[in-house]
Amino acid sequence: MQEVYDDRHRVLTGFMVVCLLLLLIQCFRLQVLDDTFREQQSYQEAVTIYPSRGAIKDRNGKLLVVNEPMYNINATYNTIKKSTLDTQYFCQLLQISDSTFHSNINKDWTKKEFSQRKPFTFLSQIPSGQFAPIQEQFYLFNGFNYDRINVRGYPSSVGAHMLGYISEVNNEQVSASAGLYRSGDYIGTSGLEFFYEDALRGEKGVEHVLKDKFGKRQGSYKNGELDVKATSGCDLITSIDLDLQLYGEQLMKNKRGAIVAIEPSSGEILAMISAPNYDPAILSINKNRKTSFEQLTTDTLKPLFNRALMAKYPPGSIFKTLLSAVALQEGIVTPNRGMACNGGFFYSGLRVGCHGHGKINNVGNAIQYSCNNYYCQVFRELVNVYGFYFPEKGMDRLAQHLRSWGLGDKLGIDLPSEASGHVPDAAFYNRRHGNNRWKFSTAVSVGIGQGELEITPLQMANIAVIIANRGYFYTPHIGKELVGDTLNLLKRFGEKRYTMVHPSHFEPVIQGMENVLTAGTGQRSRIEDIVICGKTGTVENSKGADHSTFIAFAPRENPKIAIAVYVENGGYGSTYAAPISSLMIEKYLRRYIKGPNRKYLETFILDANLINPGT
Amino acid sequence: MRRREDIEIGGYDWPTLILWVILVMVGWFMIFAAGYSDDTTFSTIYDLSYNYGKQFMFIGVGLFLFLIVQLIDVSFFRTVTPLLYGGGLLLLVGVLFTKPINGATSWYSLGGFSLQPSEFAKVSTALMLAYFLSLPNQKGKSLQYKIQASVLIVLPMVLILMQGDAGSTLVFLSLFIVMYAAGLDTWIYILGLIVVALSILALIFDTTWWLINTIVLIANCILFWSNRKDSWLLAFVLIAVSSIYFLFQINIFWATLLNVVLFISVFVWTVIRRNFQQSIMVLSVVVLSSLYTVSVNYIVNQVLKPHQQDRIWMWLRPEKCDPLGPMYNLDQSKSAIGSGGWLGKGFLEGERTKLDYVPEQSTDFIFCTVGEEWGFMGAAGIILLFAALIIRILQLARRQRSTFAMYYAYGVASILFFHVFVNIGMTTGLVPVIGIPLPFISYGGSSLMAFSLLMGVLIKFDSNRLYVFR
Repeated sequence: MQEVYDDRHRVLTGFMVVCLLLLLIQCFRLQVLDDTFREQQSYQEAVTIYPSRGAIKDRNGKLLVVNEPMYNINATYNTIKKSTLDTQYFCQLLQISDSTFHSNINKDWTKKEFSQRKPFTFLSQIPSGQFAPIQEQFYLFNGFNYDRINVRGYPSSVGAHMLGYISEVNNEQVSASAGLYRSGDYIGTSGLEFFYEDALRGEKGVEHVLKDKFGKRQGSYKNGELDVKATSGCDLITSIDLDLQLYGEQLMKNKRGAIVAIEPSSGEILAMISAPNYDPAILSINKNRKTSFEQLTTDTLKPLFNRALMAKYPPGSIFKTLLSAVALQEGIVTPNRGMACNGGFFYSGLRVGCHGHGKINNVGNAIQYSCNNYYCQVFRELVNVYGFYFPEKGMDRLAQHLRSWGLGDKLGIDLPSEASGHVPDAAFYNRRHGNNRWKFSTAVSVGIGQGELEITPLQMANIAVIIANRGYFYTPHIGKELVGDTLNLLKRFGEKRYTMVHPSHFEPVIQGMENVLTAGTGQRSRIEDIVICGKTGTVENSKGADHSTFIAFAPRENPKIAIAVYVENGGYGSTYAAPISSLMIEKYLRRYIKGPNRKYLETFILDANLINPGT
Repeated sequence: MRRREDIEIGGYDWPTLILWVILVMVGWFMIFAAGYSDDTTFSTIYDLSYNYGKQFMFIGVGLFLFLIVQLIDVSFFRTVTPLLYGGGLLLLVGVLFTKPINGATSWYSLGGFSLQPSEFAKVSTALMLAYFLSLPNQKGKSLQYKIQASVLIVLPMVLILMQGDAGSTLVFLSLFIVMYAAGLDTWIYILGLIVVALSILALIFDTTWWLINTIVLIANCILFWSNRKDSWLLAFVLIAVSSIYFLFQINIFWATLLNVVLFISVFVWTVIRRNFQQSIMVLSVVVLSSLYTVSVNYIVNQVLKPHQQDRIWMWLRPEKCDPLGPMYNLDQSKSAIGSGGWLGKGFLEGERTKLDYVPEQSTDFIFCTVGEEWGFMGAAGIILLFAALIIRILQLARRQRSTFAMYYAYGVASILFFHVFVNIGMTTGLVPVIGIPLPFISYGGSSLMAFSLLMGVLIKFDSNRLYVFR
């Protein structure tokens, strides 16, 4: 039997011998023929070069976010043990205690992650101020070396919500990135840092270095032939006006709410304030970050919540401007339609109250005096335009208009977690009340901006933009320019978006808005030489004091700024929201506040405390 | 030592024993070298907080197991083999329910030590395969018989793959070498090798190069078919594939030249013999294999896990890999071995391995320490020691009277060969990184004990070879 398989035995033996011979040849190649490994006495190591993350600037080039150095100190146990180290001096320079030193240096050596021969992190995240004294003396301490890392610094401490922050990547992000991120890398987690991560990040480089046997750098491998330079991230120039942003944050101090200011001709956001806010620096990479973050998340005032984008409010009377334009477009009203007001809107037991005001001779007057009766009536006619028994079609027509104004859906701003708001349509009321079980009167409060309608402050500002532009807007955005960007991330913001209202229908509305400040609900916020067109709103709040709101743009012709202000529990629109708007407008257009009356108003706003009224 | 009755039944095979003992001792010194840092941390060689101390203990346990095996009667092994195999499978199933360590559920922990059942399954599977192949009345080569034998090998493979231990799974493939010795059809092996060769070619070359080489390789094989002697064909394919691959590492040009020369010579020879039917066959096979070649890249990207893909790419296309990522370890491993030169840096002087540049330096990458500290002389010495041992075991296989012992010896040789070739091959970049230990040398209790059993049973069988009648 064995004779039969003699051949096979030979093939088998031959195969194994050939393979083992291959091993021998391979060793000969590596160890004898190839002398690249043999001659060098030092050790080649590939080191990642981290790119510097792109800076973030305001529209005038002032810095909002910069890179700030921070230091990690590494230690090698065996080397420290052998060297004569002046521990006391070392600790004194680093401002740490002796016990910290010892607990940091004696790791659990049975664990696989630590080796007595390999450097491990001794102290991390030392701010440059604390590190400076030891930096020059560092050569004295054998066995220690340091890495410089870049974290984010905030020279002007503004705009925490929109700027966002960076943090260490988590494991899922590492595995999803296909090698782009390594654990320990930083990634933008919120705000602009998140949205423009791809452009801000830059590209890592590699440096092949030679090290001696203790890990000290000796030179570059093959004169840097294989090295790849790191490419810095693109600088992001935002549309934010730093002075305006700063001023807005001051005005909103001790209040809850939001301000959004937009340049109508471009859709560029000039300022975006959500109050209460926080100092962005506390969420930068630092030692106390975790506690700061916990404090912010547990705060009942929800400072982390970006109200400008994420809060959905009923708009209140500011909605009347929009409704006027839509009604004019639909032919429900003509510019000169007047209407008597008997102190409210009455309809078979339903009563929507109004306040005493002058005669309403045209649409402008209705806006000027914010007449509730007028708009309930307009709403009624709008919804019943196809007949009393067919409110669905009218309701959907209105919803269609509102959507064209960017309501009920995300506008598409370049920030994460924007809210959509809510535009009620026929389907909504059918769901809630059943098919054909509702009439215009069910939804009439929508006519005065209350009820089921929900709008974000950003969308409110956008309404002002649309009126200022007489019928169109650009997607509001903060990114103005990405220096050296090849991804074309900003291209989509150049596109005009039209509403369904013809430009000619805006003039009566605008006239009314101008009157609001000259002789209407917002007189207190008038500026002598700047024509502001605005509309106040007082939003009924079942849970507490009314919300104060205001939208405006200025000047009337060639508007430079459109703004929305929302102050939670601020009472009348004219009390807080309108003055804040007018101050912001003056600050932006004139760069300072002029005249004693205006100064008085400014002080009044700055001093107002709506969060803890007693103090 | 050698008594009279020993001679009658065969006696111990001293060359095997000596080679084995030398390798185990060398292994311990290498683990000592990899773990030793300086005088301050060194107390005794038994220090159980270091790998070398533990390995010392494992060697003792291995010796104990060896002696136990020598006390058992040979016929008893035959009886318990199915039980051992079944028990091995049960342990493999059981380990799936343990807590994963490093992403694999391959270990039972027993009072501070962990036991890897897949190591022991190698012994039981080698025994079982030998048992099955030596069963009487099974000499007919029915398809059912071949499938049954293959299932014996594949069953533990599936279970080990489920643990997430791809390296140990592949080791069982070496038992197909035993099947070859037992007479499994040659064409299966030829087909397997061609598939492997095609895969490698397809992955190495982007467009034209692989096409040229594929066609030439296939044509060679087909034209050689006319010889009709399977063993020679297999030998040819083996040599062609391995030398072509090896030449690729050096120079694409030479590899292709070799292929073309082979092709032309064989072609001329066939033309002289006027065999036209073959040309049609050549054509169809070339089409089929070209299709396969095109799809290989897709298969690699879809079937394999990311880290396994990395290992394939750094083996075949190192230029495509991130030098900081997967390539880093392999580069460091090759640098450590390469830095040894002719004579090495001397015992305990290997800085690359010492300073933790090399990963897993006392287990899977122990050969780096050998290469760095003892240079080419040491590396070649180890390879030659293994070669001698494997050749000796193959000789032992031939002189067995019992087919059970013969097939078992083939099994031992195959497993040893696979471990040695793959382990040393991966540290030197010849084969992809597959995490399996270097027999007798790598640190690890389970592996050392399993190899002690593997060798112990073999030596026991051989020492009784004359006692057994066919």
